[in-house]
Amino acid sequence: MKKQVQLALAGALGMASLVVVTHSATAQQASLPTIARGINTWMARAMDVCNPATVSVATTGSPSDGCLQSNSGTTDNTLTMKSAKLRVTNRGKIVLFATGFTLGNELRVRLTLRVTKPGITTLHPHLTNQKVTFTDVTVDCPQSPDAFNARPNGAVIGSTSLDACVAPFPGLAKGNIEIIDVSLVNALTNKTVAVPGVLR
Amino acid sequence: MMTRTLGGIGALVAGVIGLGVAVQPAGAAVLLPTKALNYTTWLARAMDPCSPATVSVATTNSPAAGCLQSNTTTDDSVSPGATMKFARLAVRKSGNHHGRVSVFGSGFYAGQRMKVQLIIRVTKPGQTTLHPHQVGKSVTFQDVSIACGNSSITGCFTANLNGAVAGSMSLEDCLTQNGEPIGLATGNIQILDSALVNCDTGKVIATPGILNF
Repeated sequence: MKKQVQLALAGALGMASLVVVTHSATAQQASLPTIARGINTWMARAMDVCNPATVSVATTGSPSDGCLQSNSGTTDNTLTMKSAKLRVTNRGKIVLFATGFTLGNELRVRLTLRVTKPGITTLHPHLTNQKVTFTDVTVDCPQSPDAFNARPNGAVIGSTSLDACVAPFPGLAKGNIEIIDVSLVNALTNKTVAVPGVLR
Repeated sequence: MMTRTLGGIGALVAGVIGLGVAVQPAGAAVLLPTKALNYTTWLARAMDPCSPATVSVATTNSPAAGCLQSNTTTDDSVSPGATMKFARLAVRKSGNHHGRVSVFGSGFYAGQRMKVQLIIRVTKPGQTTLHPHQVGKSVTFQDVSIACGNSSITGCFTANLNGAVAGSMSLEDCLTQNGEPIGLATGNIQILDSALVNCDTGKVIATPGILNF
């Protein structure tokens, strides 16, 4: 009788340790939110990074050093821009409205996305109904060779779908989509024209 | 006489153009836009990056490889990690002329503390520089990372008993809270990065995004 109890205890301990091992092998996973309706932002003009600072600044209230504004590195210096507003909706629609450009200017919205999708089947190991995070992707909307074109009055009005931007993987337009980076780029120079921001 | 006058005008125009070229800074600079009122975004849950991919994926229309969702470097849902149903953040031009940073969300633990983290790059016109001494110059300052929260003690926003959070503070106050000059609250303010961060774990809870099923 005593031996049976010992065996039963040993079995229970074994099961408990198996549960612990199984649990620790699974990484902590945060639950997905229930709503996230996207971005609706105005754009500030993109400027070259200032690092390191190259001039001392004497204006009260400002940092004591900085750089003369420059747009010769990764940022565009060929286009004019009065304003730009960008919207990315939860249905995957990307809408751009901008003014102050010149007929012939071509723009694209560049997004860097990190997508996590539930209900995924994996191989090696074979698992079903898993939440999987995919490698970050940077996409242009619309994809080259298309672009949003400036009208004769300098306005740029365009929309496209996230499905088309992430082709050939339309599955990346669904799920928990983190928008890691957003910018407006000159399609002809591939340089950044504007990024989300405010003008005060 | 007519020829000489035209020649003189031509030389003058050429000179003015030449002067214009000469005074243009070495790194060509563009004009600031005329309007950029606000930055508003809903937040998606932040996940650990997947690099390199560790599992093969068999679901159609998805990339062939990825990683099982992980929240090790990002915040997870086990207390002191945060739960979240939704959250929205905004940076506005207005707000009694001081700029405004606000957050609104629900589904958090009661008492959950969080802050809005922003990385901004500010360019201001009309600056006076020394070494070299110049006036009326447009200056870009080094990127700054600030964390905003309306509690003067913790520097965080706090969820109420229902798990909802609704708070705001001026951009100037946030800069001051982070030891940055308030002059960075005006100008062409690029928002390079934004996130909601758990004050208890220091990890990112959520970033701008969409939830689309």
